[in-house]
Amino acid sequence: MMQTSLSKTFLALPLLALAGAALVLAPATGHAASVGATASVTIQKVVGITKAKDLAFGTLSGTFTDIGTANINAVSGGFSITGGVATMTGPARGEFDITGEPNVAVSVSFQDPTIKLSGPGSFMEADLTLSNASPTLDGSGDAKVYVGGLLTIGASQVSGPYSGSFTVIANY
Amino acid sequence: MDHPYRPLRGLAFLAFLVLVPGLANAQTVFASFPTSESTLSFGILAGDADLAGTAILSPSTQSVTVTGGTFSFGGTVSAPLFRVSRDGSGGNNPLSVTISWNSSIIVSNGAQTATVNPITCHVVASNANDAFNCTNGGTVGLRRDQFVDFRLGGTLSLAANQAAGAYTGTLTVTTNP
Repeated sequence: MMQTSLSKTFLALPLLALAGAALVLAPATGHAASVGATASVTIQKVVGITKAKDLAFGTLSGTFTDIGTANINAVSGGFSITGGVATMTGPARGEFDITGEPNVAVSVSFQDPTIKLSGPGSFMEADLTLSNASPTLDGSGDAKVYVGGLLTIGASQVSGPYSGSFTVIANY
Repeated sequence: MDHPYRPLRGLAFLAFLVLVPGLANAQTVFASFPTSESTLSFGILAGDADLAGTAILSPSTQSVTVTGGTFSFGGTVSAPLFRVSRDGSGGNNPLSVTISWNSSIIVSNGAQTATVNPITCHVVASNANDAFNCTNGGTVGLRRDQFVDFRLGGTLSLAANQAAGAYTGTLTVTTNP
């Protein structure tokens, strides 16, 4: 009888040891982990624009007793006159070169499509036009746009040189 | 009088000590991609010659919006999908897992760089015991076999006249434990 009682006591001890160890060690949890992803972006060429040729209404002559106009067609480069303007010589449309990503359309606009030409007399107003406001760059990333406009010459306009400036903007 | 069985009881005790540490390798947390969507991509952009701008990749809509002098031309736009999960072993008490990632990403074409900052987060799916608030360094409470899926996006800043090219960088998501 005495031997049996001792045997039960010894068998119980390992079980208690197991429970105690498990309670202490189990909270030691998993490990830190990390995973990496790639970040990417493709940047295209910035649009560039340069002036190749100024817009010139040339030399106008006439009686200038009536209001007249001188028009340069941006697409064709042709010109026409009305009213008090009798002749127009040496007109030329403006010319701008655009560069950027090949085969991509760009948006072209004026900072202000109406400009004033100043000279010895009252200023004259010109309404500018573009040959193409949304050209597509060619396979080399180039495009050309032309600038024309309608110039209004006042009655009794004082003769002499008149000039003004304008800004062309190109963007994707 | 010595008991004849005492040496055998001693051996059994040692065996228990060897087996117990095996229980500690539980509750493993994984950071992984549940799908192949593992790239944070802004697609194709272009910058203005004179004006800086940004491209904002939304992790919820997976689309890009632009501001300032930055223009988007589509391309492949993606916000990577991450999964943080806990395996099915160990106890089932909620385990608080801290999830963190880069505070910013620098992408480079080898010559110029651009920065993605901040990085934004959107939870896509989760069965977590305690929700993930989708912030860098935030925590999620996971029981066995629970997970949280989330996407990351961000704001890419481009300088005026940013050089053309393919820019890449690395985004790392880390969990602890």
